[in-house]
Amino acid sequence: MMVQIAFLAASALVFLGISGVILRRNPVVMLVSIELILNAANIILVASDRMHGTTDGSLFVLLLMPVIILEILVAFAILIALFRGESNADVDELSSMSG
Amino acid sequence: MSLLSTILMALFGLVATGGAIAVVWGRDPIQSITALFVTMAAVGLMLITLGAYVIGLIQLFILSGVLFVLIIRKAVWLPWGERSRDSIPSTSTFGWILLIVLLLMLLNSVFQTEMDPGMYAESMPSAPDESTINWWYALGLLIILAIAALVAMRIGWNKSAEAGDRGGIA
Repeated sequence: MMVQIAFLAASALVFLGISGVILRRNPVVMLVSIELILNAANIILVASDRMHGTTDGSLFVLLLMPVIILEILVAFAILIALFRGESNADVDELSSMSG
Repeated sequence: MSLLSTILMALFGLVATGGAIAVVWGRDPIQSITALFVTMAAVGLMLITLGAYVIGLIQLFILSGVLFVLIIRKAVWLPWGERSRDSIPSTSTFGWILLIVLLLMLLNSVFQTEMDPGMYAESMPSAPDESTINWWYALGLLIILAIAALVAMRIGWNKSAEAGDRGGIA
C-alpha cells in the first residue's frame, strides 16, 4: 500500500511539474516545475527498489542528486545574469540567448 | 508494514502534492521556490519512510535545506518588484519547519517499532540487528535534525534582526 501511495504522489508531481513548465512563462517557476519532475523520479526509483527488493534505483538517485544540484545552480546563475535589471521576467521576451 | 507507515506516507504525499500545486500556481517566483522547499522536504520524508534513509536525508538537508537558503538569499536581489520582496520568508521560518520535521521524525521513529532498517543495511553483509539499527538510526536522525534546526533558527534570528535594520528584507 505504501509503495502505491508513493507512485500516486509521484504521478501527481509529474503532472503538476509538466503543467508548470507548459502553463507558466516565468523562468524561475518553469525551473522549479522541472525540479518537481526530478523529485518524482526520485520517489519512483526508490519505491521501485522497495517493490522489487533491489538497490539499483537508489544508486540512480544518488547519481541524480548532484545533477539536480548542478542544474539548479547553473540555471539560476544564467537566469540572474539574463534578467538582472529587468522589471519583468518572461521567457517569451527572452532573445539574448537565441542562436 | 505498519498502518502508521502508510498513514505517514499518505500525509507526506499530500504535503508534497499540495506544495507542488503551490509551486505551479504561486503568485510570484519566491512563493514558488518556498513551496518547492516544502515539496522537497516532504519527498525526503517519503523516501525515509520508504526505507532509503541516506537518500532521504540528502534530500532533506542538501536539496531542500541548503539550496533553499542559498536560492532565497540570492533571489532577494532579483528585481521582481516590491511584492516579491515582501513575500520572502525569514530564515527563522526555515528553522521552524525543520522543528516540525523533527517532531514528525520523532513520531516516525518512536511509534514505528517495526521500521525497516533500510535497503543499505539489508545489502550489507554484516548488517547489525534490525532493532538495534532502527534505534541508532532514529537517534542519529534526531540529533542531526535538532542541531540543524537550532542552527537554522539561530541564523534566522540574527538575519531577521539585521533585516529589520535595513527595512524588512530577510
